[in-house]
Amino acid sequence: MTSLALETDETLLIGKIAFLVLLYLFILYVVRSATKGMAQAPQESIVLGAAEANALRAQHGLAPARLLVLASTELGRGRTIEVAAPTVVGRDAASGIRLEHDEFVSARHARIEPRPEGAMVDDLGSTNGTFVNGTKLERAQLAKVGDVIRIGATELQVQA
Amino acid sequence: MNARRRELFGLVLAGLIASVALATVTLARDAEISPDVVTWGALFLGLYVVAHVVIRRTAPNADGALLPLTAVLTAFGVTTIYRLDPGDGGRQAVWIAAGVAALAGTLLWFRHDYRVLESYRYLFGVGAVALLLLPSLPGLGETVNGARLWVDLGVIQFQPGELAKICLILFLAGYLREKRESLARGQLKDVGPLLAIWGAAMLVIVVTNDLGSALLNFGIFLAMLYVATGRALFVAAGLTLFLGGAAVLYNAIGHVQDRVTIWLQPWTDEPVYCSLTGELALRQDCASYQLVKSLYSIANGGFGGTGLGQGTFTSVDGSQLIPYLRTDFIFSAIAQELGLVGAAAVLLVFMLFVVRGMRVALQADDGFSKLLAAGLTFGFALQTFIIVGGVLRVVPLTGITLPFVSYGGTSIVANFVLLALLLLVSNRANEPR
Amino acid sequence: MNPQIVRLTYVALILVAVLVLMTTYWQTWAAASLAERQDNSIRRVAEFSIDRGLIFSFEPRKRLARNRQRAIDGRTLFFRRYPYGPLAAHVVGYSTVGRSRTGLERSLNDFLTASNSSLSTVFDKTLDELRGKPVQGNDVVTTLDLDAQEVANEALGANCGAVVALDPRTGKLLVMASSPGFDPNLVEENFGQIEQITADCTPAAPLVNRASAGLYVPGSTFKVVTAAAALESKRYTPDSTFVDPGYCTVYGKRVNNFDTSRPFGTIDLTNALAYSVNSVFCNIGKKLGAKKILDTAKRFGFYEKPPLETPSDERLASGLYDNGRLFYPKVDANVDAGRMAFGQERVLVTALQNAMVAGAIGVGGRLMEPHVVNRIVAPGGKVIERQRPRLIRRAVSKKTADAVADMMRLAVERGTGTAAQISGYAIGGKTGTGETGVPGSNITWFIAFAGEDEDRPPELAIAVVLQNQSGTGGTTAAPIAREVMQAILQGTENP
Repeated sequence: MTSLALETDETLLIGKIAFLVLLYLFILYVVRSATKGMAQAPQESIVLGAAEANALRAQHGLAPARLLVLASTELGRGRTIEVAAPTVVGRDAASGIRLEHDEFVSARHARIEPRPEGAMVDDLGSTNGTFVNGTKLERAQLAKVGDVIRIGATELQVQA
Repeated sequence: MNARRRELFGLVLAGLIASVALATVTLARDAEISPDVVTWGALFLGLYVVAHVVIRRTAPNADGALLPLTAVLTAFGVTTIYRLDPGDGGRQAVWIAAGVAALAGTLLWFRHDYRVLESYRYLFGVGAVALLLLPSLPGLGETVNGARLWVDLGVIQFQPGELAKICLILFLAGYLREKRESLARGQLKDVGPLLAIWGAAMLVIVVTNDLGSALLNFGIFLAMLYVATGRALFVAAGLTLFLGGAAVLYNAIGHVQDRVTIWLQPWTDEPVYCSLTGELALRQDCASYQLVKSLYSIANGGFGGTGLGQGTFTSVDGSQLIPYLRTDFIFSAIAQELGLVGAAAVLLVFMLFVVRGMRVALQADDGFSKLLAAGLTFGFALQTFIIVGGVLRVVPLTGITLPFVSYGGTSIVANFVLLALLLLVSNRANEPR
Repeated sequence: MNPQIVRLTYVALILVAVLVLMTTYWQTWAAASLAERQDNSIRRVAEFSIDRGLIFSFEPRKRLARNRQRAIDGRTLFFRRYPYGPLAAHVVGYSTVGRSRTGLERSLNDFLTASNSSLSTVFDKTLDELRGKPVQGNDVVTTLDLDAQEVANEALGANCGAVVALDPRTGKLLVMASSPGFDPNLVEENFGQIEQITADCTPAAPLVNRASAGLYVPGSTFKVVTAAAALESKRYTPDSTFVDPGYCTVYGKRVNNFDTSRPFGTIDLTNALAYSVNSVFCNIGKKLGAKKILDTAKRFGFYEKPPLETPSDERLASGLYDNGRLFYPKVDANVDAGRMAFGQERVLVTALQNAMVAGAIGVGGRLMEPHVVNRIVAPGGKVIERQRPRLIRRAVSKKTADAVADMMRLAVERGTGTAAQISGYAIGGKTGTGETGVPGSNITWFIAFAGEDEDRPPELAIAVVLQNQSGTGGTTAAPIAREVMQAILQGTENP
């Protein structure tokens, strides 16, 4: 009886240790797979700073997207803007493409990212919306060569 | 599909953890490992594999860690509950199955675009307030432990607070995405609805006596307001308003006052008036009985814990030493049996869930999705903080559930819906385009 | 929105990190102090899974407390049994689930449950835990003489009172009996039976250890202290003579001798103590002043709880009491020194304290620290604590002590304490009768020291106190003291 009880006690201890080991293995596993996933994260992440993300993108050899200004109250018409990294369009001074005096443009209106096939356009929750070929964006959308992006009174056409 | 493979592997690990835990518990109780453990372990894993398959079909690009993390948390919950009361453990397993069904349902329903939810934002707003006030309706509500948190529909009882939280987050995500520009500019006309929300939070405290739920929902509101506008001033103003309101209510409502007194001074050396019996008693034997006993339980765990199934929760005559152990105080049960090593691991799992959830918010590419994911994740974290913090005497103790761990159907199902929404947002954010 | 989300993530993570930190706090730093709290029922129940250390008497070696194993819900629990029932219940105390602990069971709980911080205990305990075995506590060997303890209990009978006997040379406690007693085996499940215990006093309060927590009017036994104070003051010698008119006038009122019919006339200090003449001590008291006498009392250990291993709230300090509080006068005028000098006024003394006084007088003024634990033994047999004799202080000079000892011997030889004589032993003693003013409710005392002859330090000191007596100390308490002394002296002689 006592030897049996002792065995039970020892098995209990093994169970306890096995449980904890498995638990921490699991945690380690999730942490590791998380950092793996991070490398593939398409956008800013907790781990990668903006500069690092851009460098990563440059490594992959992304050509800048070229945008022709078709109409604008702010930017010179006929001008071509090169977007090499994710760029915010907005009235904010921090914006990469600044449309300061357009009342229909939000502070941080939209983001344009270079893509091999053109530019990825994403509305950042603007009041008046971002349009690609006249359609209001419901979600980030790829604007291919020839497509027209409209933000407020500004129209940009994706160039090859 | 990499994420799905990682998810499956994580689930297998989680299933193993659940089986070992269950085996240890049965061994401690019956001095032998019941063969049923294998069946139960397989059932547990099978349930999550079903969820996994549904995710594969409906949200193949979703984050691969959230489901395994959930699985581990529910494994903690269900084994602890089973250890305290085998019958309740079985019921909790059924609730987890119901949760997985709710997860699958939500995923299938919104597999094309969950963002239609945004159109119903005001409906959700009204729904949230209604759900929160529901328990205080005469004939429906039931007072448990000084607060009215339950609704009795005759057939089933449920705690609408958990659902209200999700409704509120859906409302705020939609509303704030729409108004964030003008709010950030500080236009007064948009402040009205916000003050209304503050008023509603105060009303909830007054009507239901539920300090925890008010704190949780108001915290979620402030967090989402900050994410939407980036104005820390709003948060400061909101906190001031809340604390101001709470201070006024503190003096007006005895229940709130009791909670704070218990929090600040759980032990007294001299007998004080005990409102439960109407006699003089030491506070640790009266009002703060629950908190103090739960602290003793945690302390008894020490560094390594007593071992699964070997903690002390009942007196030698079988009577319960700690009240509400399966729900509000489940953390103190876990902390005693697993010790600091195990309790810290549970909290680490919660942390990882938060990190993954916030990552979903970062990856999402539209305002509604970002706000939704951030709100859901922060709500999850804040709820954990309020209940575990209450048990650990960091904040006044209020009765809310520990997500995925506490016993209770509404809580489990609601949190699986929360998980489904996070997975949907994550799936959309990671869709190759 | 991303910068905000990142910041919010940090806030959320900090919230959870605070929880980790607080869990750490409660489970490590605060754990020990929480474990000690009286209302910690979890710890108390958890401790029942520890193979609690046993408690032994010294002579003969018997188990006063042992364990009975019971399996409940798959756990082996250890419950206490007390084979000798009420015999040493007040010292040993009890350890129960429902009613906490008392006595050594409470004060030595850390040792008995192996949660003391002694290095070898910590090592053994960790090993037990690692092997998954029930933790084994440390055993306690007390200094109690079980046979004499039994004699004391029987001699007390239905009386309310206490007997304390100790070895004044070392402080070793031999007997600590309190009446009415109780059976500690009944505490857990049949507490009602203990509540129904009646005795010759109300309340019967069987759980109170009257030996160390019962405060009684010392009556004439306090004259020993007064005599010592008188000699220490150098204003008196044993031969100082007094004229006894049969009474003493304090604040204009007469205080009579016990026997008013027969004034002693001219009498010296030695005979005044032997025959317990109130008027003499009353006048000494008035001359010396209350503070001087109380200061000598302090030297004997008054005004502090006697150091013993039992829980500190089961011991009370002797001294002047005012409205239930220990009180030391700022000026002499606060106290009626005349009445105090022969043990009336508001002086209250425990039996333990009085045994210490008698002992210190017997061994030439050296006040030894009383102790009831001889040693604490780890499960392997290794002694982890051993009690050694410790001098508290020299209470009075050897000359004073020896002089008072002579007076006390005279009291037994032909004075008030003749009932305590044992042939072949040199015994010095002092009777005391504390009058409460109600007939049949006197407090009677006898304190004594005893040894083989006058030249060697006595091997035992004793104090017997009885409540609700109609006789005097000499007729009620002295015979009990005699029985117990005989048991101890002859028990050690013929083992």
